[in-house]
Amino acid sequence: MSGTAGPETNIPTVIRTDNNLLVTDSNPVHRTDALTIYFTGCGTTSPAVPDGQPSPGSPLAMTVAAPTVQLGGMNMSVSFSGLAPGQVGVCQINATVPSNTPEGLSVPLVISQGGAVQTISLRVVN
Amino acid sequence: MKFTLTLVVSLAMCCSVFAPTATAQKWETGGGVGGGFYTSNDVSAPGGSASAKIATSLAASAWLANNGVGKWGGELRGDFQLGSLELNGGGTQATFAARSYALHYDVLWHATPNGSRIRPFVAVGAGIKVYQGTGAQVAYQPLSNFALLTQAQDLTPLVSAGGGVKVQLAPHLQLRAELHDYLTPFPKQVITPAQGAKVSGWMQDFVPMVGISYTSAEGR
Repeated sequence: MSGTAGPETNIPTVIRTDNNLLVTDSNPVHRTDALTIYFTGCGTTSPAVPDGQPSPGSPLAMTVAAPTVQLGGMNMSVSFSGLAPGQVGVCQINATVPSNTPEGLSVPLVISQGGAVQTISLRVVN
Repeated sequence: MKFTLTLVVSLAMCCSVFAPTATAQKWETGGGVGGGFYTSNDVSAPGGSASAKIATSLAASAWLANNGVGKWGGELRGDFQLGSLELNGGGTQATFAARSYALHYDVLWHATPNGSRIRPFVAVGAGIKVYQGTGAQVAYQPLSNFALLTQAQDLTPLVSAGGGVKVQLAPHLQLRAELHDYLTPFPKQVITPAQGAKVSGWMQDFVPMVGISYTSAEGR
């Protein structure tokens, strides 16, 4: 997947929680980093949120289908999967990078949820 | 960071192990300060090339040396240098805070015998060097199509060569002036060539330094 990340291209946007900046080659993912992944199309949530309405902050709208997130083939620990509070139709996953994730300039991040799979490449360093 | 701590602890342990024998042999221990002057390496990419180096900066060393056998001697040495990573190309510069640590053992050959007031020497040795990128990462770094300056750590082998002069100032006090050339493979974890870019060669670091040693043998 290539292009500019965001809802128009349907490419997930990944943020490092450590510095709250977009993950790029010059702001790479570090092992054990906490990441926030934004994307669209995460399916049904509970509670359901009507189209065009901002997602609630309380209770949070959680996805019904739990996602699996892998970075370089290693399963990431997912602490939240749902709609981003206050946003319209923006999905959010909070996940932690395993300490044994392979390093590289182009490591695949694979998000699988309810039969849909999205893959992007990220730079990972120690 | 863990490795750096291990280096420091290892050096401290070596010093504490050797310290009791220092008075029985012709040992010296000391430290010095100077500057680190790196040469630059070209990073080539399909769109051109940029120059990568580490900025000239403060360097400091500590050593524990044995001058026991004739004109021969040896020393265990720890070095620390500050110095930002630098990329230059097309009138643009990218910088990133960094530092380095080294631990090496050098064999010394002195031109004059033990006991001489002035002892020119040459040194050659090997060890390890750790480069650490410590700057703040940003989403966009200038010249990122050539190389990426990264908050990471590189552990590399090190080759050391140099020379200088030792001057006995007082019964247990020695002045040293020296120049070392430290060679390591290019640290690609902290200055990472971008996709499609290449960098080759060794990183060369010239370090002139002045230092003071305490010598165990009175009068040299």
